[in-house]
Amino acid sequence: MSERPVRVMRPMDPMLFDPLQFHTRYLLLLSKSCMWSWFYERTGISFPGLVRKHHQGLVAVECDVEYVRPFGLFDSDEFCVSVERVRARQGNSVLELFHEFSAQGQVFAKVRMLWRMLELDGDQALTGAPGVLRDSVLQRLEPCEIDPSRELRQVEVLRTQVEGEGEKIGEGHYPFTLYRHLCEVADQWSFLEVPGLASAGRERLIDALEQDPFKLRATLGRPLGQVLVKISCPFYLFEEGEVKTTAFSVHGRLVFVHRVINLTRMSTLAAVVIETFQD
Amino acid sequence: MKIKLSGNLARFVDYQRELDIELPGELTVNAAIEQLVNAYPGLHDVIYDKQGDIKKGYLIAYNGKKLEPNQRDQPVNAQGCIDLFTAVAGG
Repeated sequence: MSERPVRVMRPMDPMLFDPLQFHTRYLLLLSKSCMWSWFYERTGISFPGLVRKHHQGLVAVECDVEYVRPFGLFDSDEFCVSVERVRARQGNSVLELFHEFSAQGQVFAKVRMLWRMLELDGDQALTGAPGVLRDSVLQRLEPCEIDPSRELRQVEVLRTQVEGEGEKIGEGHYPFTLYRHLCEVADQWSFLEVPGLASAGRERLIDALEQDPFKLRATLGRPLGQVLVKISCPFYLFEEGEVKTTAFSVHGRLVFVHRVINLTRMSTLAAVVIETFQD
Repeated sequence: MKIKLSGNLARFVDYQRELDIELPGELTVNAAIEQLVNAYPGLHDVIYDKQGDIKKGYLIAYNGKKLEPNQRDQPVNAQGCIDLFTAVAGG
């Protein structure tokens, strides 16, 4: 069997954009929405069905967003979001989804998502434990959609490279409290919001600069090229956090590395976000 | 003593961030959590599995130090604080 893509057309909407580009959070939101379209159309399973009938949930563990080419609000009347392919990876414990955003036949952004499968206990808090795709779900995938090899994790590779080869040129801290507007159904932070917390850390760092020898302020006018997100620890309603942002110059290229710390949870590292800019 | 819960459990304790639990005598961490569940019965099926054990999806710390399941029989005192963290929830 061949791939089973799903494509959904969407109208252009100014809420989807900031002055420079498509919001990262909306690329992620639409990717996830399209993932449920894929699940429902290709496997007959909805999100409520996954929880109620199959006692499974999933949490985002990594998101890779690539802005392929410039795309603005007035460049089209509509755009397409797709699931190009799906893979059950690493012993069926991780789902990997490849999304594309296109308009007038040209791709302007790509999103790769990694979802860790959970086995739910069935309680109202949606308590779960890491698990694998149950047979009742797995049997609805095509053979080509099951790949037992370990998936590629990009964030730690790039972070190590940036911190090893780069020159540190700025640091900042952005404290925050997780309130419900940043949460999903389990009163847990929504992965969509993690890039936004990171970019708030970047903007706070830049706004606080008294001197700007590395011209960081100018980056406020440059669109992002790539946003990599790794989520390693949950964050719940009312928990206190801090974004620790470090700006690096790596062979003349500017990179921001953000560590999101859950202060309430014994100062655990909850996420890492890496931002680079379009050339 | 104080018990703090992960935010996704807040709705089962009237959205209190920190709970004061009366210790009737010398109690262990496990017994203090039982006291909490007695006070807020809506937590029972959320925290305990069918065998009556605390579900694997929870992390427990006492005075800021994470406890392994076999360390939860250690005594607690009235000035202590238990944190009950949800390891992961599916949404």
